Amino acid sequence: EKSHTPAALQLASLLLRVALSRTELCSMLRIVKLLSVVLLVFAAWIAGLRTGLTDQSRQALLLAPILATAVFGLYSVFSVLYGVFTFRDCPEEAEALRKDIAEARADLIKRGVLQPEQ
Amino acid sequence: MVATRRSAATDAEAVPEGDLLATAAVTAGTATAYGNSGGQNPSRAGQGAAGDDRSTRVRHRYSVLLPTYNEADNIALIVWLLVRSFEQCGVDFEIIVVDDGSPDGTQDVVKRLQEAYGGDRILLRPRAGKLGLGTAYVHGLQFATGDFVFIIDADLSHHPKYIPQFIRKQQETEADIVSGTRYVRGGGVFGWNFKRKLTSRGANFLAATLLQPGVSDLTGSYRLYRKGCLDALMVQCTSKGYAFQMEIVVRARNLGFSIAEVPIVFVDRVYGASKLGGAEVVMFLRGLVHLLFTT
Repeated sequence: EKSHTPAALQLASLLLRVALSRTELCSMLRIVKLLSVVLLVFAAWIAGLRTGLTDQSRQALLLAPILATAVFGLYSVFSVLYGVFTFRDCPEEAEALRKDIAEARADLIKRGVLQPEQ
Repeated sequence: MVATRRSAATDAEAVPEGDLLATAAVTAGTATAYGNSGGQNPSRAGQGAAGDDRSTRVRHRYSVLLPTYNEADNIALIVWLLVRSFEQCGVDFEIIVVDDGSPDGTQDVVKRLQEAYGGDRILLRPRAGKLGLGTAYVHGLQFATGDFVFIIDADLSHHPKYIPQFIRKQQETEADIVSGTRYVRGGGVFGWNFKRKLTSRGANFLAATLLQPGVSDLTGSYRLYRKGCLDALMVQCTSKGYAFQMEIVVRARNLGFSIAEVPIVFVDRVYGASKLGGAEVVMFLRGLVHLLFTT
């Protein structure tokens, strides 16, 4: 039983090392990189659970993934909402564009590209 | 009135003196690496100190690819604004209109523009039917003689007034790609309600988290590319819709191209009706998954 965990951990860390090494970085697919990280974290988590721990630490480790997901979820929500609220509205740009369009239209009519009624 | 003047100061405006040899060397390097960087001939670039001899300066030519479909109302306006911006910079340029057989007379307007500005400045390279944005770029690139290429939307949501900033940023950083971004300080949008902004930010956050692309605005389509880089990227990119712009940036990073950013403001004149239905969202997500598995 105890022999499985180090093997899984070794495989995961090998994949991660390959994923992170500069020479392989560009040729490795994104999905492989993502899965390597997930696999490594998972293997470490399993390894942690298999070692002898106090009840409290063990419970904390069991809850850790849920907590991490919740934290990431909150971070995502706040990040996106912050982005939306700081997304600059630019009515002055629309006005500037209107002016530019008017100027362009007048000149283009002079040059015979546009007709006055367009 | 836009004056079509050519002053002797154009070289100085286009290329800062201190960067001349660097610019020439990089252009030469790019030409070797990618085989085709447009019509420039930097063969005399290593000759002497910057500013020695004006004929050794590398003159850059900027091609603008404008794919159009039913843009008869806007095409003359966008071309006029582009001409004005390029003349303000004093750089060499050309505008390539790739029209997909528009039934509203877009090509007629372009022909009148050619009479006004010259056939060497405004190129019309139409296609028989609506064949997609990616292939429109590939088609237009064949005819581009510049060593840099601007990609810009023809519906006036991208204002050509940012062009000098793109050019300056590229010269300062010598980046292979300069990408316009709505999301950083100085950028922004007009005509979007809360829901539209939420979708935009949410999609960008999701894609950026999964793909780690190194740019702040993944789906933006106001960009400046070295021609050789764009040629190399067009060979690889196959996505449709918003995912296409994402794919370019992700593959650019994978190929080791450097990307700089310029804040821009996006003016949505179609007022929210601009193609963001459920179908577009699904296409975006499918494109994202496709990029996860192929880049």
